[in-house]
Amino acid sequence: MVKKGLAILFVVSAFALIITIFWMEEEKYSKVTEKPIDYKEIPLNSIVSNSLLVENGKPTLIHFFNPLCVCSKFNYQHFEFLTKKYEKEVNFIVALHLKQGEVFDQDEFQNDIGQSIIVVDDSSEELAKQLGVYSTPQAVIIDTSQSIYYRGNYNRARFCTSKNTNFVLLSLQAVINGQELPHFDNTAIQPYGCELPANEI
Amino acid sequence: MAKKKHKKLKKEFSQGNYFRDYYSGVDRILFFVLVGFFLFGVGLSFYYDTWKLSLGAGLLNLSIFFVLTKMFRGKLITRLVSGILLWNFSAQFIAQMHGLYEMHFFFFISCTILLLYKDWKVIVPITLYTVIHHLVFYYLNYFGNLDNVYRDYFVDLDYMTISTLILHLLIAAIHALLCGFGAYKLKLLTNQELAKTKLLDLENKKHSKRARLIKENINLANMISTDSLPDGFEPKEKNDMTLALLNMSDSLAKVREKEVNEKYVIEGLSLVEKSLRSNNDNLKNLSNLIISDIVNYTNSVQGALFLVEETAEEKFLELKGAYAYDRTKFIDKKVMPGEGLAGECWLEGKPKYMKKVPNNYVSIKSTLGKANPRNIYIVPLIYNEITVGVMEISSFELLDNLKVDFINKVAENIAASVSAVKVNERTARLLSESQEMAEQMRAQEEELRQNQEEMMATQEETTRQMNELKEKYAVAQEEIKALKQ
Repeated sequence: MVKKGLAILFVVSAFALIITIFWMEEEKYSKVTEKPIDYKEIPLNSIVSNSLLVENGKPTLIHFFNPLCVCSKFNYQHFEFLTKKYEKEVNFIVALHLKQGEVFDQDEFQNDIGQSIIVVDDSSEELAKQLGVYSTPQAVIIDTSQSIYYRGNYNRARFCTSKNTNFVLLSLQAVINGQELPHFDNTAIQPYGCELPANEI
Repeated sequence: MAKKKHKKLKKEFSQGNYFRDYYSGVDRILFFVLVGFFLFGVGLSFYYDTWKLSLGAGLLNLSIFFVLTKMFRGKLITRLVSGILLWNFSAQFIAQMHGLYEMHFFFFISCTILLLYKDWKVIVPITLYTVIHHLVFYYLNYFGNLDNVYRDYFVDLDYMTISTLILHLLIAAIHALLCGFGAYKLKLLTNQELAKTKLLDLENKKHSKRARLIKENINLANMISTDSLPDGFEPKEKNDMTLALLNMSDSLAKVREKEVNEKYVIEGLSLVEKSLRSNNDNLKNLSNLIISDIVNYTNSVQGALFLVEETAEEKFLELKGAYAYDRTKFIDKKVMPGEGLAGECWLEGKPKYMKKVPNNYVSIKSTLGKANPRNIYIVPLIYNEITVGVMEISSFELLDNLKVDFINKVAENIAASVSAVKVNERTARLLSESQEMAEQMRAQEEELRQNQEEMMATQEETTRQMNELKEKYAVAQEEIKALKQ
């Protein structure tokens, strides 16, 4: 009888633990990314000067990507979709944020994504700081006047499953068409996802 | 009756060991299925680094099932919880793939796996759990104003209408219903098959039993035919055939016993008859011989044959023949009517059997040897309702019916023979007497004849003398007449 009681207690506890794991997992990705202490706010429409930005009359999308970030991983398909869709209209730059000591074959990544896309290792956060980015995945769209057109999340759903909130897609469409940035709520601007590896404690 | 039996068997099977063992077996299979699910979850972790979910939740799920099977293997609780665990894994996969629609198909896979249990009840918890899961997350995502934060735990749709949800759940429910019905039918079919198998088993057992009985009966018949049936043989199981064979065996034994008995009696009678024929003119010799024959033939120890003798004054029994008696003392023994056992038997005209008589009693009455026989059988020798003698047979052991029967029959024969001998003796005596009488008569006749002759001679002399006298008288007369004249 005691054994049975213990078994039932174990089963109930295990169920509770499973729910806790799910909750923790949800909590982990529900939180907004904390701003680094030394974060310097860069407002939208700020003019950006960087050698990576080429003036060829096309806007530039800079994708901040951390291969180890789950959100980045999940978002990557959406980014690929955008590169294919706007291959001709947009310059794409992938700013890699690698963890210290992480083995990452940048050449293979370059080959996979295509030579037309610039891949840079921004683990030093030079570009990130210049553009006011502190999490991945994040997108920054620089318009043809070299000013920051959009900076934020790709999608309200962290994994880009919400079609109506494909902020980057909508922004790209607007910038290509010479329109003003659509009005997005905080879910677009407030970064969700992983901290940049350099900011991790 | 058969239907009732079938129902009983069915009940027996539905609650019997079969399903307990079967459920235990499926529990084992389910464990491997869950391990497979766990590994699948681990595989999914490579997509989005959901290791906590796959290893944490997955291992906990496995451990829950492990504990349940250890404690409640084959029990309903294990089956019910296993369904919930399968949906736990499915929900985990959905979460791992951030609401990937296809992961919902694991509900169908899970229900189909649960069909293995052949128990419709197992489908109920997983279905309810899934419905609750869907309703809760639907609410959290689309009504809870929670900014779709739980979408990756449910479905990667921007929006899901209630009708879509209802359709979604309806399809799941239809599948669950089909699986439940399938499980119910499977159990029903299994029960029917089991009942059939059991009936078949029973039939086979009956056939085997019948074959065994036939074999046993054949062996029994063989034993009867070869007269090798052990005494007091008890068959393992009695049936009509066995009983008939045993009855037949008894009848055969009786016939055989009768034959043996008859043979015993006939051979004994023949033996005595032979003695009777060889010495039927001397009663003493005859008596000695036949009493010896009878004592030996009946494995007795002593015997005596008394014959009735009578004189003008008295009737008495006289010891004519004896075997192992003290002849010198008893050879001329006379027994008066009513005197001793023999005398009583003579008077009563019925056999007397003294069993286990006191040692001294037999010794005194029968004057037997040192080891005195304890059983004395005395039978009158009766012929034509006339007791012609008494025979006494003594033995250590009780005489069985066969020997008693033989003694009774031989007594009749002896009586007949003794009567015949007596008649012969009497005839001879009468013949002798008549011959003697004839001789006497002949002598008397001769004497008479001589007398007669003498008388005739005398008569003739007398006649002659008379004639002479008459002549003399006539002469005288003539002379007288002449004289007168």
